[in-house]
Amino acid sequence: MSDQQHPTPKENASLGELGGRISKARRDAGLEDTAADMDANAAVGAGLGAAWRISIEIVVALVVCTAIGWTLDYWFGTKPWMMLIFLFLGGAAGINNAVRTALRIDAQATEALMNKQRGQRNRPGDGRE
Amino acid sequence: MSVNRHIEHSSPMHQFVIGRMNDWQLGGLDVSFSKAAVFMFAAVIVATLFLVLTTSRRAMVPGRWQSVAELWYEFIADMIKETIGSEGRKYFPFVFSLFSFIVMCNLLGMLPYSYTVTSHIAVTITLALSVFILTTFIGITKHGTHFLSFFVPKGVPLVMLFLVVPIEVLSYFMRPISHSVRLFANMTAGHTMLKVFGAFVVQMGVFGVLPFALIVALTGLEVAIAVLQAYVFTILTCLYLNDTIHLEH
Repeated sequence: MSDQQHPTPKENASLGELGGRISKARRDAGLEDTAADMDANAAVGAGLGAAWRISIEIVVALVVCTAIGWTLDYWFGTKPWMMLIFLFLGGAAGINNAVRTALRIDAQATEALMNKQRGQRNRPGDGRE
Repeated sequence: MSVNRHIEHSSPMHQFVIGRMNDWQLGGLDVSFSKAAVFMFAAVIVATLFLVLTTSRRAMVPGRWQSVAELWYEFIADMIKETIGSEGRKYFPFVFSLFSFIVMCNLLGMLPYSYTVTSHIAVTITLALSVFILTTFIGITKHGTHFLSFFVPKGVPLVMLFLVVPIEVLSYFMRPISHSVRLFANMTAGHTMLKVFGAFVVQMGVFGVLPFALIVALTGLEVAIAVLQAYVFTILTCLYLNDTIHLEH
């Protein structure tokens, strides 16, 4: 916790080297996920998150709009017309929101990938090939 | 019937009942302190205490706890910078409070015998509506009547506008609902699932170790989801703010 414990630059370099050797040994022994494994795990998590985000948009818009239509029918006695109209409008609104969400996720993923590639090209060797 | 009572008490939905802590009446209104209110207060107090205590030393070289607080701050600051840009700076306090509150509510809900506030749609829709009202207000004060062009996509033929504009308006009003349902559904589903498997452990006797192992894994997953859903709620808030500030979809 105390700030005096922070290593000097010289110690830091040897600590970095030690860290690299430890993680290499762990990887060789199969104790640690390789970068590729971690990327794959992250991709599955991100994919699930994206699936949730997109599917909820469609479901919510459809259900809520149909309920609005049903209520309007109930008020004005126009069964079943309002419900039908709002069912289709809700479907369209849901798809609209879902496509927008998907495009956003896509843009974010592309940007992250570009940043990563740029970072990898510019990164100096840090002793952990 | 004792069997019936047993089933009722171990129902997976029983954990979501909002209990009263006391019985206060004020002019015929029920102003009792509820379990939900206790945990909302707890979330605010824990988040405030954590941030105040960890940053109180203001060391140039941060210690472990101060690093956590700084990471927390930078996480939100970077999120705003990436999604909104420099104009988003003034909304930092709102976004930061929102994230801290939700993440604390979600994480406190993971403690045994505690209560998950965000598993109630009344709570999440209040948060989502506050975001919705704020973004709409910003849009109107910033752009005036020009804000209505948000509902008219560019390059659409005049005839189609009669169909497209109502769809755009409906899409806009569906946002707070999907925003709140996402958080509420995730929290409710996760906690219900834990409780269901918990009941299996008791009912299956010796073979209960199997669902028990599953619960251990699921609890880890739930902690991750608690943080992830707070993140998703916050980044969507940023995206909605960006939409109204820059008037683009």
